[in-house]
Amino acid sequence: MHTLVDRGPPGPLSSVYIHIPFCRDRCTYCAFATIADDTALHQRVVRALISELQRHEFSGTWKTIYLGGGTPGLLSAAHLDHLLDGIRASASPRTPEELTLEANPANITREALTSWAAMGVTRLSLGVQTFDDRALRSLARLHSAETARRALELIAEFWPGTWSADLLLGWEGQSQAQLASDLTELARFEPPHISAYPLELEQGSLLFSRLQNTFKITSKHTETHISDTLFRKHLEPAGLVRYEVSNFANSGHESRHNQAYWANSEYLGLGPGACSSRAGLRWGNLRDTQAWLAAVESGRSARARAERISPPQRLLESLAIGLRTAEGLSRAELERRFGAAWLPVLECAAEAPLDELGLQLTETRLIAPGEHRLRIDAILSHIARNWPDHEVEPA
Amino acid sequence: MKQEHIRNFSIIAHIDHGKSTLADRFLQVTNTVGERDARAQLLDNMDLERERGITIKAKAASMDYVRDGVTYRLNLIDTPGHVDFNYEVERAMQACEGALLLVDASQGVEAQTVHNTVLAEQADLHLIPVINKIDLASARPDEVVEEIENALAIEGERAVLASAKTGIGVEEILNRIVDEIPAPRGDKDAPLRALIYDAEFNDYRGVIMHVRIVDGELSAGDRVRLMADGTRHEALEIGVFRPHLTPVKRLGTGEVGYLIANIKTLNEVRVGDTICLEKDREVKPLPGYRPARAMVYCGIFPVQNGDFDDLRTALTRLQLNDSAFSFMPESSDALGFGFRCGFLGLLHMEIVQERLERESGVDVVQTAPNVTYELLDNEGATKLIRSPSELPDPTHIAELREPIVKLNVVAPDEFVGAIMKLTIERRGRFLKQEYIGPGRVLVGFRVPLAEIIFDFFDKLKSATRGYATMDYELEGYAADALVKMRILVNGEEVDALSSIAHKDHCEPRGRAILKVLRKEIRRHLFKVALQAAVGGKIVAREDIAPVRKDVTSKCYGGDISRKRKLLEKQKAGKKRMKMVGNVEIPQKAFLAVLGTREKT
Repeated sequence: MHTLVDRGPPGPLSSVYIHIPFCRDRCTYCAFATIADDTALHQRVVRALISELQRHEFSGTWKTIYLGGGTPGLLSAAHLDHLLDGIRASASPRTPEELTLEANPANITREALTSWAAMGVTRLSLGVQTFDDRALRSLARLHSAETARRALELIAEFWPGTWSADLLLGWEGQSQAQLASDLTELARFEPPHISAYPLELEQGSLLFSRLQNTFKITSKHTETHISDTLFRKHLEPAGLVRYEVSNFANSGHESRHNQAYWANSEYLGLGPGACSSRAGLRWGNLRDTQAWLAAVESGRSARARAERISPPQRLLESLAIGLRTAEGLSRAELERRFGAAWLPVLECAAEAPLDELGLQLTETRLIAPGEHRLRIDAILSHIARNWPDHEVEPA
Repeated sequence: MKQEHIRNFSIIAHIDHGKSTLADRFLQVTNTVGERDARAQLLDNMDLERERGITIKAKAASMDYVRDGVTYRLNLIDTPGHVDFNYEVERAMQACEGALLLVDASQGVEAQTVHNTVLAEQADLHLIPVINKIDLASARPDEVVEEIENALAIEGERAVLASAKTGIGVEEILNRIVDEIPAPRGDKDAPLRALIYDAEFNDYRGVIMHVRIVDGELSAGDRVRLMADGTRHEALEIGVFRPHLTPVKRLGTGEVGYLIANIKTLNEVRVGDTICLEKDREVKPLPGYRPARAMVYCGIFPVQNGDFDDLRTALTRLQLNDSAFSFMPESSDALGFGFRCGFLGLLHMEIVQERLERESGVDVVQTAPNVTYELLDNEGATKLIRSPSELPDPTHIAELREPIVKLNVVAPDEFVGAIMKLTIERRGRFLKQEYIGPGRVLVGFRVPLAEIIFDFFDKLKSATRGYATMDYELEGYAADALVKMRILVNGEEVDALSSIAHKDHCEPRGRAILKVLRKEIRRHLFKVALQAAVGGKIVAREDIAPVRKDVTSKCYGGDISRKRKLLEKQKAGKKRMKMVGNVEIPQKAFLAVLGTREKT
């Protein structure tokens, strides 16, 4: 009989995320593992990141490397260079297909851009968030709209690689008009990629503790996604394609690193709080930078928690992230990884024909077409309610 | 004790008119209990009774009182004041020859006073009016005397002015009991006939029967027979209430006491039954009572399905000392397995619920109450309908009848308009209006019980700024344009939400139910249509629009587990959901519609 299985990811481990836990100041909405900037710690953290990687005994190819945070742009050129050397030392070839660096507009200078390019960074992810100064202040971002504009101009002029502008949606008081004006302004710089994620109230963020005492999150009254209308008006004319619910790119400029996540591939996460998925396990590192340092420096594992993902869980995940993409999931790949049972399991959980739910099964793919993709959480919630706990034999 | 020196009496009073205080005062004055032993309101045994200041079960106390050098045995049989416990009142009255009619000097005659006076007169009791609480500044004894004359047709000048609290008039009441209330009749030489006028359950001793010796005498160790079922028992212990159980060797004609006969459950004892000696073959049973009939039903369900057995145990225990309470298993599409419970009335229902919570610790959900309908089918057979789901297809119904009550409301006359309006909205028919005293009226209606069981008293209280009191008495069953209103979700019927209503009330009621449902049911991927239907006709409709956008969650830095766990939480949520077709209805929605309270 058909049973759900997990025959493993589509390819070998080839993506690594490196968490740089430093920030000049803490954004109110951030719940990441960060600590105030402390240059004395930079050296220690860089060394620890390298030795954490060594513990994993990786030898292969890094197709994508992603430096996130935190504020990786805060690391000096020397530290960054050292870190990247260490990461690439274990890999062959040493040059990844994509090396992303997250940067704050306040850290963008011509010199920085030049040195990052020289180190092999191929992609910048710039935290523009919005051009509304009041919002930037209330979110305690370090930069102003003017800083963002200058950074974008510098990038347009001096950055040789590709880049993404990150927008923040759903902040308090954001109107449709403000979002439209952010998009208009951003489009002037012809970004090859835009990420637009809604602000989420995370436990552990300053915003959370501030709002929980005063009023509820206002996402109902603000924009939590870029509507189809806004997309057509402001982004489509610039050749941007909505290749994932929250991500837009010119052809060839998609985030390969994120695509690896969305395919439920293996990835390694280094640094405090980073998540990894490898060999059927998923784990998260210790979130506290000092605790993480102490573990790594004494040769212990930095894992805080780990779990083995069962085949039904893995399939649910694959659907949850894969259906957010425009191309959806490949039926052949679903069948390869989970066996023929994936479809009956999905159909049982749906309790209705898939197309009634807003899912489309073509000859080769499973997708949530058009407007249905904008309510994908509701569709998945519906499916998740009936999802099997363990491996099941479909009737 | 010589028969001519026995006086058996009860006290009739409205709630809070001071009955228990007076009873306690009697116990002290007669030295039945010492000052130090006197807990406040000794006769109210249950915590619940003491807290609410009401008497639920009939109680008894035997006191010795000396008048003109002669010792008399005064047996007080305390009765519940509320209409729900009519059956208890009637039984207790059967064991008495007289009653004190206790009226609060400032509150005056209330609806229940009127009702219970009628019962006492039917039982042929000698009545002694007592106006209590005359020590209060707000006392208006002259007006209350007038009310007693007008409303109860009893000579007001016979009333004793008293204060149970201060002791004023208490001796006079005792003297009047001795002088006026007749000694028990009954043939002391005839074979034993004892009336079971109440029974209670005790964890250690089993059933304790409260008995009145009508003829003959009962001795400890006698072999006795309960005549209704013919069961035989040994009188292991007999005794009197002083007020605690005090064993005696013998109970003579006219005496009141208790009998313990190793009976394990209340079901084995029928209140109203006659006890005779096992050897006597030719004894004629005493006229019994009409059995108590449940008038109000509601569903009681455990919050946790696994608590079903615990709930059954708890209900069984409650039934041990409340034989008027009944229950049977019921399964509801919405609430799972539980019990359909029958009560004498609303107060009875409330009391049972409270005891259930207090004594069992099981978390329960209770549905809104409904009455027992009577169905006449096409073949001319009648059937009792306890729940809307028992109703057959409309084509099989010749007539649907509902219980009708005579409702008396007593209130200051300025509120007559408000009382009329409220009652007529509830399909009430005006019967009479009488002035029972200066500015105080009694308004009588005939009204369907279904209309007053839910929130009527609350509405009445607020319409009369708390002044009105009400009482009702079942008159019979009458047919009306009653229909079953069904609730449909995307065309599928939700059985648990069906109700029986007058056809003119369906539209507003249906609308109200759908509004509540609309609030409680989340948006789905498709449109959800909510409809209220009577037969094939839709009387109300609400739509829930489908989800159009919902893309707020993302995954941070590869934390896909977190996203999956959020989704997995949906599964736990679903367990509390009831599926109707492919629409999820949360249990909360049922509770909101059924007008229920969740007890925790």
